[in-house]
Amino acid sequence: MNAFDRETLDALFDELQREWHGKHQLDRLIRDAHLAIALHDANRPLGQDIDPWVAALIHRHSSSD
Amino acid sequence: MPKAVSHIITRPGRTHGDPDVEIPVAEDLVTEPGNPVREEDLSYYGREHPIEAHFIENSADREWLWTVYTPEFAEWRRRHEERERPLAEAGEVSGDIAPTSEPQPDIDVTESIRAKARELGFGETGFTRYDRRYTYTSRKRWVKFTHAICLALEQDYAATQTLPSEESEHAHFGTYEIEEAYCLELAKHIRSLGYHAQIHGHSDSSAPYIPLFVSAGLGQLGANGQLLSPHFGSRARLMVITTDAPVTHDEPIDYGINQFCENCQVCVNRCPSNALAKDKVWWRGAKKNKVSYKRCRPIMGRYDGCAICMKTCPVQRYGMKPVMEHYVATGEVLGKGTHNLEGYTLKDKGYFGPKEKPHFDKGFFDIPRGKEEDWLFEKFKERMAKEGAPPDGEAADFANVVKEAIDKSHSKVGQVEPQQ
Repeated sequence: MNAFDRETLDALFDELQREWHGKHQLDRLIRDAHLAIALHDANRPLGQDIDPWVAALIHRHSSSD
Repeated sequence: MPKAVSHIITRPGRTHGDPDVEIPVAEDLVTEPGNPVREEDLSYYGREHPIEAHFIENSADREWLWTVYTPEFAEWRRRHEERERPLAEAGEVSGDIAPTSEPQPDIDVTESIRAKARELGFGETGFTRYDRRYTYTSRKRWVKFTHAICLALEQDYAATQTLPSEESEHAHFGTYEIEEAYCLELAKHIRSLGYHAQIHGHSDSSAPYIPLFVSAGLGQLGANGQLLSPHFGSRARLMVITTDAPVTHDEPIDYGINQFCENCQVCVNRCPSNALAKDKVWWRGAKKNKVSYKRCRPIMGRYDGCAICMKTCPVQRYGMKPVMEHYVATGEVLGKGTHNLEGYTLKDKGYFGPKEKPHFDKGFFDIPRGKEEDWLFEKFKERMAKEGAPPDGEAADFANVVKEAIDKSHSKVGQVEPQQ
């Protein structure tokens, strides 16, 4: 599994912003996304605390590595 | 390689009403509660060589900052100062205001104050002795009370991750505006319990606050010179209220940060101007990674507050619990070596991924130093050496400029405290 590069990170956060901008969940999802990216990059399981929408986002973008 | 756990620290959740969190500390990260201190050195320096507030000691570069701001940001800062001035002025005289009820000396009001602080929105609250050995020379006669209430307010998470940027600077200064208002409310609450409350602000700080926060168990000093607290890392803005209320002091805690920072070193390696030191030194009785102010300030001023050391700290980015859990599980630093944690962009230099850093010419670091009046004298002397004595009347004009600089250097609003 490859660590996220800069371009993929930009695309991932762009998608997150497009979907959740202006909604109250945005802050929590950004926090979750940063943690999920770090766990992904370290080849660790994301765990139950990561929001399912973020987990799916990570999976989608990691598949496009 | 997995690590054995020495102890587990239980702390309140990030926001009011959140469940407690448990932070495991690996055996090989254990050093001591708080940060290493030599009490006799601390007492000696506090007595014989007390420190002075940054805004007085470094008034020359404070003026310089305004010359490198964009017009838009300068205007934003001016508006910020207008908003902040009445709050800071109210804090300045807060210790003189009488309590609004009779005290009940047999009742410990610690938990009442802590609960009110959490309700207001403070993420971390702790109690300790106000240690006067850290007090700035110009504030020694101002501080009235013996107990310190340490209050940390979280800065916006998403904006902080955009560092360095004007967006993150708005979050930085904006957090202080909110915090000062919260402190005024908390001071009212303390007075309603029958006691005095003196607000120690950020622009008129009475001392470096981090040692107080460490003593109150709210975190440990990181290699980036910032308080690393459980939920925010260094993404918190710190203020203090001192009081004569009977409170119970908290104890310093070993979160494992002293050793973790030695292993991690991401902030040290990513600092664009190499202002952070790899190794700790003893400084005025404290063992710490001493920040090089002369290398930090030029980049901080020119690049929206910089704070790449804050941005790239894994404890700031992910929180202490996931970072320590990852360390226990793997023996590694979460995020280290990745673009997500270590990458940053400087506005005129572009993007720098892990192991990439910008280059600056030597002249980049040549900015006004020390007190504004001393800097003016230096420039005046240099000019006289080149051109001889000034024409009639110019010496008097110079004296007026120096006087103005001295007066301005004691104006407290509008300071940008450096890392400690």
